[in-house]
Amino acid sequence: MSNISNSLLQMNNIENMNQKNTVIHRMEPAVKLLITLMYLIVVISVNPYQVSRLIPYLFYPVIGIILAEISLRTMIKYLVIAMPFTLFTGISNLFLNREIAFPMANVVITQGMLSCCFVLLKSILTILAVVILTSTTSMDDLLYAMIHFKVPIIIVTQIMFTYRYIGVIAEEASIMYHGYILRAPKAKAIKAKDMGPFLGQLIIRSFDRAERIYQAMKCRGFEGYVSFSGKKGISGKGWFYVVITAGILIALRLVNISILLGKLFM
Amino acid sequence: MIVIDKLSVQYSDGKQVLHQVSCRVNDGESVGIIGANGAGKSTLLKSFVGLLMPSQGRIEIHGVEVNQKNVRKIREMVGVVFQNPDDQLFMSNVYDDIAFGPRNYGMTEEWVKQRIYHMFHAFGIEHLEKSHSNKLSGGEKRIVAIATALVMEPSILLFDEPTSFLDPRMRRRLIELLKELEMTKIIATHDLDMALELCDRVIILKEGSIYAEGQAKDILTNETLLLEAGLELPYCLQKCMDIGKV
Ligand SMILES: Nc1ncnc2c1ncn2[C@@H]1O[C@H](COP(=O)(O)OP(=O)(O)O)[C@@H](O)[C@H]1O
Ligand SMILES: [Mg+2]
Repeated sequence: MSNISNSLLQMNNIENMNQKNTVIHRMEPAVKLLITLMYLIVVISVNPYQVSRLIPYLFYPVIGIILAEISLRTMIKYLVIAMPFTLFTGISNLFLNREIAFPMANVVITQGMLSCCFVLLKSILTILAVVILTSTTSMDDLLYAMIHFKVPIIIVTQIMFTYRYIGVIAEEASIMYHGYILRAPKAKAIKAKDMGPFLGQLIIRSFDRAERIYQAMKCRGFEGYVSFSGKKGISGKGWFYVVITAGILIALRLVNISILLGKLFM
Repeated sequence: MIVIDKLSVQYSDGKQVLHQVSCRVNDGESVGIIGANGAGKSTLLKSFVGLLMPSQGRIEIHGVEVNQKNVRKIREMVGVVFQNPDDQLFMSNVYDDIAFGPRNYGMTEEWVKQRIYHMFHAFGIEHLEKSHSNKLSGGEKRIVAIATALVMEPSILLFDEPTSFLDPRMRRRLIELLKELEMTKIIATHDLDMALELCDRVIILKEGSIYAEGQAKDILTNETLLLEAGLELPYCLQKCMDIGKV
């Protein structure tokens, strides 16, 4: 439980990581948002089973992680939170699709194995791209960037509150968890029999808290959406980054680098 | 001027919390609303700004009645500092938190910036500009919360238990700060020492009705009255009396 609330809190306080001052951190948020979106679209559009075509896209997270100085621990932590779902899909492919793709030495490679690898690799790539974006850009900057791209203000406000609400729940959860642990010194975590009331209380408390926050907002003229101040869009230099990345991504998509490299060395 | 006339308020669960409360607050006055826990102090403050609407009676602020139609106007005139600053700070940094109100009221970014730097300067919190509000100390949070209300230049400020969560030194700083503010102040509290120091007049609430009302120095020295309302003499007076007995 403390782990869950810790990681929730961490997600909310991702700003901690935004304090660094690397090339990536300094990049304009709108540029990062655009580049990440392009990357996601291209990676997602790669045809299934073509594992080799996905591999070149590793360039992006590798370069991003190095330039942004994101620690391995952080990366792994996010992968661990996000991967279980994909892992499940990947592994079920293993069993469902046993058609033979091709034999390799003594082992038969099935379509299922290929698609399992493919699904895993694809989700690792996309998760890493999102982690690079969120750990180098504050939530507010991202929201501003969305507004710059004319995402409706209502949607931006929704995203902002969902994000903040996670923080509220996490804070309440950790307060309650401490209250629990202090009075149940032998328990390592919340016992199954106490879980029901605990969760019930948590919902009520976060609801009350959210209500109080909402009242405070109304007192300051809140009427359904947050007014964001106008922030600048993309500079010439920013567009340069966008075009370069777009060029690389499109080239990778059109040219099969693995085969090219293979031909070169054989 | 604030006029409250036979105000009754009930919560959505049907529980009636305020019963026929009537009083007035003049411009520039500091009024303490005191009473035991659950007496209805917070409820009264909330009804000033239309967070709770009267089930009977009415409230008028500078001649504007508090109702659904007028809340926006009312909330522009009346600033509220809630009991728990954690509920009041929700943006991701101090600057945006203070800017939240003015932006909602359509002030220009230029105006907002000027006002905020003025507040930073007045409170000596320039260094907090980019801080995330959950990284602040309790006292800093309280000051920022007050700034979020003051930035709108309200003519009336409401405080709900302003000294809760504060250590003695911070409490002292807050009291000095409140003394400086010239607008009408309504302070709900059971910190009677502070009430004695800050308020011209106090109103004692007991179980949702006005139990007594008068000059702070009269009410807050009347031990019998305070005991009946579930309170006790301000600590400083108790001490004085102890010394007197010796
Ligand atoms: N949201 C609510 N719903 C129902 N009853 C409430 C609610 N909030 C407060 N009350 C009740 O109203 C009474 C007065 O509460 P409150 O105004 O918070 O008192 P005070 O601030 O003086 O301690 C209490 O008895 C409390 O139980
Ligand atoms: Mg209260």
